[in-house]
Amino acid sequence: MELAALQAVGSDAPVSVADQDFAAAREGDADAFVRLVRHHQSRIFSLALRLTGRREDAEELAQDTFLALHGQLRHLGSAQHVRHWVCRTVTHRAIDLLRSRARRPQTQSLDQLLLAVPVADDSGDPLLHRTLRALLLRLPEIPRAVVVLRFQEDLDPLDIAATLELPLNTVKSHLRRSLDWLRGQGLEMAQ
Amino acid sequence: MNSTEPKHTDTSGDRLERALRAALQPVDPGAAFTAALQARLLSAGPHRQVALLRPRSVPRHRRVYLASLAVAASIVIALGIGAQIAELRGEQRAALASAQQARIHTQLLLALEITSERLGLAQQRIEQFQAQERNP
Repeated sequence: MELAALQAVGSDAPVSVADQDFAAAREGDADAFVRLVRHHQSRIFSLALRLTGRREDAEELAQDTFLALHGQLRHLGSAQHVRHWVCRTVTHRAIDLLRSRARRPQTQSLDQLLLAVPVADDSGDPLLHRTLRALLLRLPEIPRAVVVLRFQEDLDPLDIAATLELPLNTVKSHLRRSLDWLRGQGLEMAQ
Repeated sequence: MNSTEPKHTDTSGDRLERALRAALQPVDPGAAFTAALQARLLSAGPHRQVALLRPRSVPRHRRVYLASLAVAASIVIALGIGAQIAELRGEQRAALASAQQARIHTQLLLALEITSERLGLAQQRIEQFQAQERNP
């Protein structure tokens, strides 16, 4: 979806507010850069939060990503490109962080994870949502990233493969196995 | 899924995916996040501006010049540090020798004091003997 959108951006495409902010930020307009950050911050922070499971890590990762974006603006071509770049960067940084800390979330009990998962404003079934987020933290980092990119960012497997630099079949396999594993956890879901 | 309700075509897979989408709704990090980021940007501002203005590729002759300058600076710094270390060691040695001299001086004075005390005692005894011999 992301890549397709990137390819669809042509010279005759209407200029959006995000594009205007991007162009101004690129020229050094600090206010435009802040608006650009505000536009992306929920997604990027949430992505980091779902991948790391810790609010403080997520904030640091997201801020580092935006600081890096500030230095990279001159090399990015459009607002869509920015969207793709920040998503890719924060995902890779989160995976690197998880690997460097050599966490073993699988060794923690679900109760411990449930307590550790930050509370979000939930609509629907808060317990189910929290359990799902906690279960996601028991997945290894790559399958976790695949699931989060699929269901938070709504990326299709092709874009996930491009973001994570993995073969398409590997992504599909991670997705299928992760969903099978989640189904096998005995979750009670209302119809 | 309940088979007694044929109207529901929803599968457990769909329900799981829907639940995942709802569970993974983006959350806003709050106003403090943007404020902290702005502060970090301001603190890193001038360096970032310089970095942005700096040309990406430095010409080869300039790279060579900068590299030789860096090597020369490293050598000067290394020599300076070496001289400083040698000077420090010399000072340490001098201080050590001076402390040792002071200790020897003190010990010598003490030895002289003890010797003079004993000589005084011996003199006293001799005088006592002589007095006894004169007046038995």
